[in-house]
Amino acid sequence: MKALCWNGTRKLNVERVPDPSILNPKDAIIRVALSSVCGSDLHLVNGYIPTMKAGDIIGHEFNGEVVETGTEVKKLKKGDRVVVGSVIGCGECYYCTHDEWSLCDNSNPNGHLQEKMFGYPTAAIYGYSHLFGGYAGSHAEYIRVPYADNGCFKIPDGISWEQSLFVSDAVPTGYMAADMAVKPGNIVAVWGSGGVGQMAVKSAWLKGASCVIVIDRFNYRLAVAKNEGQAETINYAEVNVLEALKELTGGRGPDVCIDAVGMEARSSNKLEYAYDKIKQDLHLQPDRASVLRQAILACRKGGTVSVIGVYSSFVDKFPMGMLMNKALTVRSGQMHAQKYIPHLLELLQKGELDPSYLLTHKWPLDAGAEGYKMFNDKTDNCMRVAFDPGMI
Amino acid sequence: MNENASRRTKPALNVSNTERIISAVAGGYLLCNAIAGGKGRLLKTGAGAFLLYRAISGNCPVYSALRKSPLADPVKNITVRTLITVNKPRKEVYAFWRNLENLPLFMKHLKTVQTMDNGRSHWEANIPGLPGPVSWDAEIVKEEDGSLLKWNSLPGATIDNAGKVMFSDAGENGTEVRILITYRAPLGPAGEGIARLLNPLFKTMIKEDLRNFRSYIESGEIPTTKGQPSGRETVSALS
Repeated sequence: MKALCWNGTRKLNVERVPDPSILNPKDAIIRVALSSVCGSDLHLVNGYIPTMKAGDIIGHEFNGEVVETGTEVKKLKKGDRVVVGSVIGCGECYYCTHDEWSLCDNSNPNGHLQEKMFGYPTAAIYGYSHLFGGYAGSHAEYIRVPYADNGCFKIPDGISWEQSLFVSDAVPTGYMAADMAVKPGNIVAVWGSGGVGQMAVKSAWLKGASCVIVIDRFNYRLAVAKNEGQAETINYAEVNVLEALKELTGGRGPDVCIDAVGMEARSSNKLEYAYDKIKQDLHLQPDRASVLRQAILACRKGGTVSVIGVYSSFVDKFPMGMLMNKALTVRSGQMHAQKYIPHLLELLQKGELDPSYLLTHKWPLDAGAEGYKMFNDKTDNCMRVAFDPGMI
Repeated sequence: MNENASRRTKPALNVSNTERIISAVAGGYLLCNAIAGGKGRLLKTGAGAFLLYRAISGNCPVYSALRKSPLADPVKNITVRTLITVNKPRKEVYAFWRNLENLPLFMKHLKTVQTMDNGRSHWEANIPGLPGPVSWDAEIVKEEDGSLLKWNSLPGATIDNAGKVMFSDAGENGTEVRILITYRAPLGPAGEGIARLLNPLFKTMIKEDLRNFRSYIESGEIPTTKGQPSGRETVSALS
């Protein structure tokens, strides 16, 4: 089969590789219908995530059709149309049974690597480095899904591949950001106007927000947040964010600040950006924290900072004093896909949510490398590129 | 043989080699100084003697009092102590371990364990650092239903070893499993250095075994990616 493989920093190639097979009794094989890029993939492509090996198949946000099931798969059959959560959960450990699927004890065969880095193993993620399990990703014609009964969710009739694709990752991530923090009446500020940020905006409204503000520097993405998400917008390259947020919140600051950017944050302060980027490039600081810093500074006293942007390890110059003296709550995590997907598919069915506007470019798998380049450079008003392995 | 044998005869080593050398030099200097005369002879003699004692014996009573943990036993033992919490009730976890034939399902270094009558069993394993598989007979020396399992290899075993597993409740539905395994390396004086090198390897292996155990007893399978596709084995475009 064809698959998009990581072969080094900013080196992606489509290769011909063997088809996947059932390796454990709870596995299923899915023929991939659509597989989307994700902002967190850019950390992989740009070389910020350790433990990648040349030849790794990437991609973690996908849907498709079941073509084969292992002997212990009970809920799926051949032909089922499913959307698959990006995070892999065994369903039986303490964390999975408490709906904290991204903290699964058992799905990561490289638990020893994570114990070294995080102290404890966490759930595996498709196509996201050997630290996160080393599972082959979804930018391919077929993919093997372990613990398939937990990870695959049947797409309701009448919902298309395009509509359901982002329920694999972007929607539950944005929804979790809001679910962890937003209370009715809150003013919510979202840093990052990409796929996840857009879904955080939608989710904030669903959770009863009274006003949603989006911060980014790409006007075309801010326009989408305004038109599709009814959000107020702030372009951080043009205005002072902290002042603008005070203006929009009666001087109090937002109740909830969502970080949907993560470790490759940019800053309007050139000195801050240079400091972070140089330290990062010299391997003195793995992650850039400018969005996290700003969110903590902006948040109202007693408010909540909700972090779903991906970080890998340490950041420098963390505003701990501001956090502590303002009595902030920090909520965070990789998304608990299996917890949220059933509810999100219901919302899709009821017509209360339609994420398909995120899919700005549907391209063949062969265009994988160009797709990521466009997504990274944010050209052609790109929001998300999805690869269709069946397209020529 | 049991894991406490070497510790009964002398106090625990808790001073590292580098520190012992520094103590010896400092202690020797202080004693010489004390003998040469001058102020504070009693203090220097006392301090010098104390430092020399800890240098020669390798045991510092002050560290012991402060509970500085003993260094790995240098007498040819590979000892691993580790623990894990499992999301299954204690009786179920105990019953699984009590059937020693289950152990190779998740302990990768064990090839087979065959239980025989009267609590005895025959084991075959690949021990890291030794060429080829090793086998021995063992017996359960102590068991407390639901909480403790202890086994020793029988005299005449190629490789002396002992294992102890303790089970205690963890919250609503869980079990804390604490394991202690010791292997006595069968090599001569060279064994001491090798054992020290192999200990961390062995500990990593046992920790992995326990993770596999948790996976197996909770979800019924051990996660793997062996055999999955990647760009490292490409296929000709014509096939």
